[in-house]
Amino acid sequence: MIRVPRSRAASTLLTAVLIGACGTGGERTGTPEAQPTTTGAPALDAGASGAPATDRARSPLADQLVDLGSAVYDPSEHVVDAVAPTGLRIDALDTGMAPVLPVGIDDRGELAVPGARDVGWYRYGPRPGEPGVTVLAAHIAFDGVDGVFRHLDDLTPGDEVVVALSDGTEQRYRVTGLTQNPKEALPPELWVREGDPRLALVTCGGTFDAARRSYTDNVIAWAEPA
Amino acid sequence: MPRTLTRLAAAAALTAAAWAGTASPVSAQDAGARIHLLHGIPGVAVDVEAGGEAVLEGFEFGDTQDLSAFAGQTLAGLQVKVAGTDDVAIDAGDVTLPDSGNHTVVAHLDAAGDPALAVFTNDTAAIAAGQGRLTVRHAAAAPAVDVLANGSPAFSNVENGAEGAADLPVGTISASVVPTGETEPVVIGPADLAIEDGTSLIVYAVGSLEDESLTVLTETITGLGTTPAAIQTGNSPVSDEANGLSAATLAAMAVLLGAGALGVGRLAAVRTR
Repeated sequence: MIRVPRSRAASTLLTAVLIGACGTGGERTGTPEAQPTTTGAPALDAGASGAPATDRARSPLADQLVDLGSAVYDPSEHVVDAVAPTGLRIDALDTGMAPVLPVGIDDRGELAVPGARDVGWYRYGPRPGEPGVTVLAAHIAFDGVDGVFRHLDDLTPGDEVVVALSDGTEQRYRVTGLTQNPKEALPPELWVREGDPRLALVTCGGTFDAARRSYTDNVIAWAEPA
Repeated sequence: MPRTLTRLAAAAALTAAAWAGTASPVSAQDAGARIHLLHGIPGVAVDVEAGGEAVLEGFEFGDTQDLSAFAGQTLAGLQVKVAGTDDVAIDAGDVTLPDSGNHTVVAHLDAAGDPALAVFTNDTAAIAAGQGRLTVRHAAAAPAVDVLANGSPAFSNVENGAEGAADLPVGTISASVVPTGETEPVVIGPADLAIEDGTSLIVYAVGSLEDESLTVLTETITGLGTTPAAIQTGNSPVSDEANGLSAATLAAMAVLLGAGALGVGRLAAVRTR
């Protein structure tokens, strides 16, 4: 989902309306006679009788507070963007437009990667264009068939990656680099959900262990919107 | 209304006591506490002082302040005043903040409509992949309520100061708040709530039913999700085109090599003659 900046104007308006309705807030109309004693201070909703504040020093603690803004419910923050990737084309690898399927995790807690000729999009992570890393994974080889990412490690910086979206548009990326890691040590950067939109193309690499029917490493091609 | 002040002071004292009770020694793995302060009383701006000095001025309804920097510290002589005045609304005394855990302090109205302070401890347990956590907290001057999700009861008989919580599949739900046991009138909502992967969405019902100021504040805690443990993207060797040579090409080369070897042999044979 796309995060939309909070509407300060709306919350400020709401506050103003509420203050107006309640007749409280910053009004300082109290007279000396009406001022309460220290043992009979007014309730919170009786600000109109409040004594003007005396000058007070600013506490050094004030510098340690962090204003996080308004928590007033904003419907625009709860609109879920439904655009999903549907296809992936990397001309440098002659992939054609490979189908992209939304996938979650399997019973072992691992990414549910589809068959050899499909690409899996981790649907619980960012969508293309959203802050953070969109993860697309495909096999290097599966059940004896070369996968869509058979030659992922041939990509070089600048290569174009095209992602087709469910709304009919395309998002273009440029490869920025390749990384390789042991299978059991996926880089945490893969699951980042903040910052600039990025794309991670993930497959296997390293050495094929015939006994375990598995590769030792993951190879990741990173890309940024073109 | 001295009664209100008494209640506020009592609430503040309780709060301080609760914090003192839950505070634990700082251990090496503690990264400190996360403490947010939420203003949930419509229409009243306040100033907060400590030891007679201004810590926070003009704190307005709906705003949030991060108090995490004060984790484990004791704020001496904490007072909450109606903004711009010397009118003490809450005389909290010395307040020691927790040094660990995830907490939200909410200034809100109790069921009777009197200002109160509540400290909620937020659940930061890991959330399964594909789910988000929804917590609804009753912090409004209103009787017990039911919370409907997409028209069906999700949390029942939630009273002021209490909460209902559940981990739900990601997506959008339409939430409504109704009096307990009823389906109408809808006193809050229907409002869409986005349930996001690995994110805890905390919704506070605040304001006053009688004053028709009921509304909703929200807070989110991210990073609680579960990500895939591994990505298995290969269960068979790649074809023998590893060097740009397909199996067919290799087979053809083998034939040529064989022929070449034969040729060399023939040449050698010729030379020995």
